[in-house]
Amino acid sequence: MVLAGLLAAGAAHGLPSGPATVCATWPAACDDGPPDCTLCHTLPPARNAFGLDVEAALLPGAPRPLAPADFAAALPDALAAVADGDSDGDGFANRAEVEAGTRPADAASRPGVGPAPGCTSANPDWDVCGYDAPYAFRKLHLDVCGASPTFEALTAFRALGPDAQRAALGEALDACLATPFWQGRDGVLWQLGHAKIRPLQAVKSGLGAGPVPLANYDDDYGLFVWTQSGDRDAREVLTADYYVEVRENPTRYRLVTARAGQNAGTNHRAGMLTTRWFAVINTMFTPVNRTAAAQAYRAYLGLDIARSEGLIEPEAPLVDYDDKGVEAEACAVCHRTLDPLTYPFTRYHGITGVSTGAYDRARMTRFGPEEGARIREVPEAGFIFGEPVADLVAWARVAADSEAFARATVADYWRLLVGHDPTDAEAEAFDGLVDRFRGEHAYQVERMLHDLIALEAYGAP
Amino acid sequence: MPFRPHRRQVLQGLAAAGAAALLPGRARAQVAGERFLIVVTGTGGASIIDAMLAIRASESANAATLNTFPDNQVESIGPFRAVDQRLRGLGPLPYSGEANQTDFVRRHVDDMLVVTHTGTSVNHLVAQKRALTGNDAWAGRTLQEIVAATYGGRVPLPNVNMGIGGYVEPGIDPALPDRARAEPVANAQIWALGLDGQRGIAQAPPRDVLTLSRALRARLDERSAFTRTFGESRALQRWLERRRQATTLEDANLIEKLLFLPDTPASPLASLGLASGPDAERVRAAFPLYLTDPLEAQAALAYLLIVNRVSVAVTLGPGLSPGVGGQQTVDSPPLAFDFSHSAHRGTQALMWSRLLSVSDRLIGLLKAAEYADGESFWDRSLLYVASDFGRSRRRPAGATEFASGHHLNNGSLIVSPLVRGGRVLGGVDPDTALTYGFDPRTGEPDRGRNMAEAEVFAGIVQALGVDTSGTGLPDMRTVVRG
Amino acid sequence: MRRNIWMLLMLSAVGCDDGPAARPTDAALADAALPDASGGAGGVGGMGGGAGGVGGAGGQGGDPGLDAGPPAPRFTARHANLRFKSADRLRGDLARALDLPPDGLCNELGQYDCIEAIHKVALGGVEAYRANIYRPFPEPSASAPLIVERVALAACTRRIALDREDAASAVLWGAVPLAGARLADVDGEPVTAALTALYTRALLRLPTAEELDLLRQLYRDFEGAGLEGSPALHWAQAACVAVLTSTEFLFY
Repeated sequence: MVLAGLLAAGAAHGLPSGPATVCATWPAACDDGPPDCTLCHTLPPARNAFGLDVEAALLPGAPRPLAPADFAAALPDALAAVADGDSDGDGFANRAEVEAGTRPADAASRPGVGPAPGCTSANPDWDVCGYDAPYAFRKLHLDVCGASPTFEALTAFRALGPDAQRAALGEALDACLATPFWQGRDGVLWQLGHAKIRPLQAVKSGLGAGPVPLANYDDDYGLFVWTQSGDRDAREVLTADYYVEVRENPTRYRLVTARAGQNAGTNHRAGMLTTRWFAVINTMFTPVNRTAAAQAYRAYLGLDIARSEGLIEPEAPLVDYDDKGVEAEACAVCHRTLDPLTYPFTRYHGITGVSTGAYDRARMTRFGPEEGARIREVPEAGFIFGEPVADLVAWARVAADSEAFARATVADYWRLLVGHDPTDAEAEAFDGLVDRFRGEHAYQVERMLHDLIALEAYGAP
Repeated sequence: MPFRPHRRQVLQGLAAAGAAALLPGRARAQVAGERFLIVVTGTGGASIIDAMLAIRASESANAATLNTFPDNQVESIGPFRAVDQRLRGLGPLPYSGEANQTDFVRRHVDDMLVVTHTGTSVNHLVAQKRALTGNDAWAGRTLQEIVAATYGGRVPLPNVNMGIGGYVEPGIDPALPDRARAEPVANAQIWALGLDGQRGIAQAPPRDVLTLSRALRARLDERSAFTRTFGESRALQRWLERRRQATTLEDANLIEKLLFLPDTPASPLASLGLASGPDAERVRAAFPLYLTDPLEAQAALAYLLIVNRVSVAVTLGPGLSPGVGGQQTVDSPPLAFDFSHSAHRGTQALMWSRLLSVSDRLIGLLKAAEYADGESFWDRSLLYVASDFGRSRRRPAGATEFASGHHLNNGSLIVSPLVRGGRVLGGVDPDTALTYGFDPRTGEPDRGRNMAEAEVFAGIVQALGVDTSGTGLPDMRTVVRG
Repeated sequence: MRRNIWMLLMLSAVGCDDGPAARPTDAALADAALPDASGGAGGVGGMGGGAGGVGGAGGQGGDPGLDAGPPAPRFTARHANLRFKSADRLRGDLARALDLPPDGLCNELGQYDCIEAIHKVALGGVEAYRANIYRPFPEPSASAPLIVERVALAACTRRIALDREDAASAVLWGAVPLAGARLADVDGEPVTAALTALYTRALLRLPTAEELDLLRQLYRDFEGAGLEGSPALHWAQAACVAVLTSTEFLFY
């Protein structure tokens, strides 16, 4: 996809002159190659705030769509017109952002604050030149314990030397990680799980059941918290062949090999992807449960197909098994990835009474032709990241071992503790943290958090 | 310099600040061309072929296996259909009562417009948001944000959203003015209590005490090393701006104008120094189930927000919790329209009936409220029934109750004097029960075309008089009355 | 393009008799940075608060040109990555600062937990189970500043009442005779101790001498204003609310 096609309307789509013009006009913008479609667009052809500003400056009043030559000729002036503007209102001019490699339509993407060579702090209360341990000490209490430390504790912390402060930070983190605020019911980890589990009280069973009790999502929260705490491997969120029982007052968790209502057999379990609740809320009554696959891809790998993320087409033809029209070109763009991603999910029942969530190799044969002329031919084998997988357990293994999983997991906690997605200036630190999470941290979230709170992104005022 | 606030100066200063900024209240000057958007959410999937585009069995070659109705249940009123049903259960749930559509259609036929479309997602949250952003058609702004940014410059809370899920998610345009972003409301009955820093708090001191406390706080903030160290924080700057503007909510006495609960032991307003506003009795009469039905409470608040010139965009709709404890064991199903997974026909009938009834009463109140010069608030309003998506069309042969899944194909109901009403744009093929589109300029039906989310979005925006030039939105002039 | 923080503060400080002139100039900030002006008078002060620093750095410090000589000392934060405490942390920190149970901070109409039941989403919380709101809104809502005040006022009033009921186990105001209409000595040690406790519990630092002066002056203003009710009680409420709704308390 080229920039020209995204900037211009109608017949101007797909023009090859756009990137070259941007690069010629703002050379520094192309140090790492030409910008992609998101420079100007949300979902093409819809424009983002910067794209709208460029469009407005592009031969104002001229009838649309612009001819390719007119577009190419006018683009430099349009870029010049918007160069000093600030489309996303983040305080940085558009040109400065594009040249710095940040996104001028995204207020969260900003040229970073670099290190301050030779900085000396005149601030008696905060070290504004570097990592400020008392600042971090206070922050982590709020972030992880849910309340500030006491004045006395902070005073005692300030009195320590640098090494002792570092150690005390680690101890404080460990203590906070054990609190109900972090891992109790409705604690930080539960809340982190909301967007992955997508609870709905009206159809909950178990404690606090709703009027139509279909599944108990407490099991899902239990498994999620379990894999994100202690010395556990976070990948088990996708690969666990066990369940976790939640007990109350105080909230505590216990690994179990079976749970009432959980129907996936041990050999067919894939952590959060094969719980009863996952089947209820994502598969429901659907034969080809694309929503389930898309939710797994989004929630655990950080890839939202609805936003054209993670589109990796396998070397296999796309087949419209359920007569949904997915082969139409406009649909196939996503479905070439999504459908093969979905096939391994199709062997798990949705809402089917006592079989809800159960693995059934013959599930597709139980649907009639009204669900699609070839519905019974849907294969169990599929693809993820272009790699063939025989079933959902294999799917989950590939997913859990992927870099995308590690990045998504670390990003969850980065947002939680730093407060925003990693900025471009923080990218290097973030990438390093992801690498260490996969390596020396052995996928243990709590070890990664000890590392995270020692970063400048967390502890520098 | 020592802090020596003089009470008179404090109060004068506050009054001046309030007068200079936002001017809530019915006497305030109007914004030229001001419009009001009411979004009513068809949470879970409001199927248009279960209402205005219902199909008679005799019209379809596949009547037994498609979602069609016995001929005698379907009434034609102008170009619209309406289905009244006597319900005797919602699948497994007990329910007994009438589901009515004809009253609404007869009363509003001239302001009604049905626009067909085919969405791009059958995921509830994604689809809900796309029903409001036209699939990010305009820099990712929601309809409500656009209306708030266009007409909300002089009202205190331009965009109030009582919806859930994707219907309450903010848009993604970073350039949107902060004030146009939605003010979320979780509990319409008593949300207004949060619009004053002091009134209604037990043993609260006189107002002047809080005023002086605020002045002191501003001074402490200004002098603190914290503020001087972190003053560049955008979050801090936005908070201070919001804090400055918040006093205008108090100055306008919104806590009482928007409070519609009566003074009872359960809501002891008088003992807390509060009284509900002058319109409270009227909205309680119009929405008598406000205590047990959150949708009625939302409608009551929506009316008060509009006629008190507090908001120009309001969003309301059924939540996912079942309605219980009102008139019968179950007053509305869990999951709203999505209970169609269990009992399609009954759920769609009851939920449509609920939405139309509440909308009818809200419109009635707005018609009776004068905007200016004999014009009513309704004359400047547009009500959009936004739906996640449609429902699957098939049913077991002849089944009168059946389960349905999600389907991209659907249509939306728009009610407004601002649209060219009394029309269906597009149509429905009775043999497939799928809707088809229309020519966006002429409105002529086009069986070879499906309308996109962005086209419905553009039609609504343009009907509301918003200038869309330069946005890349399609020209949907056929929607606009004029 | 960045907004001027001082302008925003001034706008919210309506009624201050020095008005816009209160904007700290670079020179004023530089003066305030002198070590002996760091708010330590009277044996309080100490860390944080009112110390000031070298103004004029204004975010520019630390980036000298090649021939610019030694870098100017820097006062302002480079990242300034503050976050609003939001519903859960606000609830926890208010409860900690005032030593109250979280569900005893504030109840609307005497029955609905202000934060948990009514205003949670407006304060940056979530409502996952019934409203599908899984992630907080990016910003606190427009009514959040008022909600914060309501909660703080209710919680402070509760704390004051408890301290008056049982001075022996009082948390903040035990030594201050609030029962009478007026304070015997606003400059006295009991008041200093109460205000110091308020600051250390809420802001984790000692108040500066200037801050103590401002808080004492508030009481004198109450006495002079002729407000209905007890100036001592009102002063305690107002002081408590001012500190617990300050940006320093609400952001981290």
